[in-house]
Amino acid sequence: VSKAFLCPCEDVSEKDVRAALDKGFCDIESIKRYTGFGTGICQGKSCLSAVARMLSRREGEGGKALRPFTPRPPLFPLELEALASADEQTLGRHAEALPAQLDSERVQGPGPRSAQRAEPLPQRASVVIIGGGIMGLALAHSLAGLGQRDIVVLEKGYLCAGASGRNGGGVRMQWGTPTNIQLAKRSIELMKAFASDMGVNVWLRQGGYLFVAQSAEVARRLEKGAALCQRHGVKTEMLTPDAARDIVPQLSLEGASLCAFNPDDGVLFPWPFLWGYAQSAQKRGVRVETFTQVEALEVASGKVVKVKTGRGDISCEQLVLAAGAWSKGIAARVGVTLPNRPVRHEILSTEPLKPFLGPLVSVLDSGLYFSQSMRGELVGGMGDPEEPAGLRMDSSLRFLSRFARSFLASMPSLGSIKVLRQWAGCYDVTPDNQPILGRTPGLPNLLQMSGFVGHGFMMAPAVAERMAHWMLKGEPDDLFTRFNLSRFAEGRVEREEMIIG
Amino acid sequence: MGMRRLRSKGGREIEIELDGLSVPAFEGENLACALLAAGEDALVRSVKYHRPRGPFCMEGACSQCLVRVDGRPNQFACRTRVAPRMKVERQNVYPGGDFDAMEILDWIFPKGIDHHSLFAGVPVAEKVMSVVARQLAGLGALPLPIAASTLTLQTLQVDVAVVGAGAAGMAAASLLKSSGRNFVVLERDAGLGDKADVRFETAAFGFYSDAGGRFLAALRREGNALGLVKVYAPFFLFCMGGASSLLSFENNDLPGVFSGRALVRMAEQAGIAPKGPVVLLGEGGCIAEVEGRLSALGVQLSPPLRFEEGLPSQLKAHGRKGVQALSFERNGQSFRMACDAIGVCLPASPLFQLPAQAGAEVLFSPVHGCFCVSANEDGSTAAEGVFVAGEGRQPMTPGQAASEAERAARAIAARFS
Repeated sequence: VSKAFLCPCEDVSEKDVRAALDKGFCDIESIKRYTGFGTGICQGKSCLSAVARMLSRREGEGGKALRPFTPRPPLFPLELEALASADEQTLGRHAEALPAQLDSERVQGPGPRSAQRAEPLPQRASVVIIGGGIMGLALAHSLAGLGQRDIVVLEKGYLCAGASGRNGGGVRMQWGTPTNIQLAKRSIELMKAFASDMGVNVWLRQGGYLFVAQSAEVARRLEKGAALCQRHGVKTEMLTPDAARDIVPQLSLEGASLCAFNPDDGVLFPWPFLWGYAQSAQKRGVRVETFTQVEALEVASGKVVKVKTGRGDISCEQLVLAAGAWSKGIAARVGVTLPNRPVRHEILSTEPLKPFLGPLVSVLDSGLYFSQSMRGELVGGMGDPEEPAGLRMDSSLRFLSRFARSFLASMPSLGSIKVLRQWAGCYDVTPDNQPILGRTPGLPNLLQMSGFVGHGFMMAPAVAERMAHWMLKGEPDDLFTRFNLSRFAEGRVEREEMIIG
Repeated sequence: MGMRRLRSKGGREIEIELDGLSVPAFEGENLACALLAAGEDALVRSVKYHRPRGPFCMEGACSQCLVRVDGRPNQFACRTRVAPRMKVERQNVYPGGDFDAMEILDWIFPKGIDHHSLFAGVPVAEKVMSVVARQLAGLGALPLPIAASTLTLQTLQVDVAVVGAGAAGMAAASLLKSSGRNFVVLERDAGLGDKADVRFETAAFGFYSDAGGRFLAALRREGNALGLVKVYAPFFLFCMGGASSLLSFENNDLPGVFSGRALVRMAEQAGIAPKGPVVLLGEGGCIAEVEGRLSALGVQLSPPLRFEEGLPSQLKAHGRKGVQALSFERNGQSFRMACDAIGVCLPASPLFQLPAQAGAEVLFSPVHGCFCVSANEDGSTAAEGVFVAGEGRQPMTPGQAASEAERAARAIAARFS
């Protein structure tokens, strides 16, 4: 059958790219994500120019301002065993990010000509949400569903530019505090219904989460968590390392003392969530304004009254701060100090392989995690205790090597698997690993929705649903008092211990 | 589609295995060329529609020759040397060999699969699709557990790190040598040149920084052993060349559609060429270059299709498992040419990835139809100490590339005095 291909690696046809443009995905980063072009073995070497030539006909001056999508290492598929050949001592330590490298992640900026809306921003809105990640978009969708009008979502880059588009797509019910278990259970319910509610596939695959503990201390944490999960109706069971190998035969489990497995956890594709929520919100009248940077906030008589952006000002009645790792910086502009710390977390994706790995595997001691996506790639990351706090999204060789060593210690037979792409995103870390929600002390119409410590993605559907009810119906909800910013001053903290990385 | 050997290949004739069947080849030759010469045009089944594909770029920059070699998935056949008893297998094929029943997907979905909306929210269908998609996903099966030996990490500190030992890189190297600078040239391919100046089989894959400063990371190969190299330098000169650009037209993925550069490389280096006539299409300058080099080797060429003479519309390749004809419309007239191969001749897309990671600006060039690195006259870029030259900056001839790289090297050398 006759087809014309722009990206043969991923079988993306010219028709597919045209469909993306018709849907409003006009910048090259969004087209890459929506169609999948440039995500295959060649990583854009042969297809990128072809797509750009097509776009150049739509842009001014023949596309002179077009830039490529961020080129991510490695330049060619690279064997894990080669990366594992150096240890972190010989590889060296992190440096501060170079301005150039930060700049190479263009998550903001003027955006493509054709993506800029012809119409200006509205001058006023009932609710302005800063941050077009999954939190902000899910909240806009939920609020509009309850009848709220005049909602504007401001996103400084393309959809998926921040952590919502950079995470590994893991969703789990196994947590260490009852609230998180409840939120995650509700979220997964909503995720299962997402395709029928929103008309877009998210490819949720419930292959389970297999946690591995090495030290006795982590094993105790796992047992405690499992007992709590079971009390809340989660099917977590404790397994011996040998029993875990029945689930993942390639696991070496050397040094493992205990494992926990919940078959109902899983992995999905993060990006369609943002598109689905954005589309649904827009259908309900919400304005989702991408490539729109917040420059300042105006406060008068104890309220935020105006949001100033690069495209004009918007007066608002309520302002929601849902900007992930950027929230701290924005709050600081109105004198509000969030205890959040942005911490870079790196991640990689490998060549696509035939299905072999059911669950997401996480070694809690080291912060290693990996799973197999629906496209067959291994997707994995690992926390780094030496990572300095900072808003940066560049990639490091140190991560590749640390991940490769740790991964091959768990899966020793897979050394010749090749890495295709590495990238990074920012965790928005709080002192107790719990989010910041509710009204801001001293600025009651500034609502906080940040601090999700790398698991905001899987909590967002449930949190947004409750927050919309709380905002509109005035129903009291313990979530927004318990996780209020005031808890730190009042000393009411309950730490979440089941954090990966 | 079908390839022939232009000359008798030197070296020992051996047999290798493709999907369990014996195929003749010459020891040490390029695997993709050996398979093409043996009549195996379609080496790959595409990831989604299971369309038969054959090599396009012959330079490790596409995915159309990925095969399983000796138990390792997704190996570029075009970058693999034939060895005795080599076991080659096609991937993503059901049941196997050159027959793939899943090709039916291409017929069931003539307009393509929209994976975003297909069966979204349709009760049972969604679940079934999910299971089927999972089973069909991916390309290669897991590797056999054969560990490679590894080499220790090498850390180099030099004045200048040059990436690429093509015309540009070698011109820069000779200038840097005469100016007495401490430099290194990293080259991905194996080579016979002076190993004192050039590190062959050392492929730069990323530009990073750590507490020691900015560095290039490279993969080093010695036989089957792999290791890493870090190169710290105040100056980096990227002479990385370009990759074959794709042209979108109907059935542009049929086996027998090559880049013009690939046809030249195969004919000159491996001594193989299409049996029947080749149609070159694209930009006049690129066509002229390819035309000259192919005709010198006796490759049969049909009249080329130069875009300057009027952009063709309805461009379409025909053939079941390989190119048999090309059709198009121009000035209201329809044309159809029988051919055995199509050569896409467009300016090569610069390999801008590493200079971009180092902070150089990369913008689309409407003139060249590809992304180019913004650089000053002397090759310097927006990033301090980062220079680019040659085809890795923008499309140009090897002669231009050499003089540009020499100029950049001179500018770098001058920074030391």
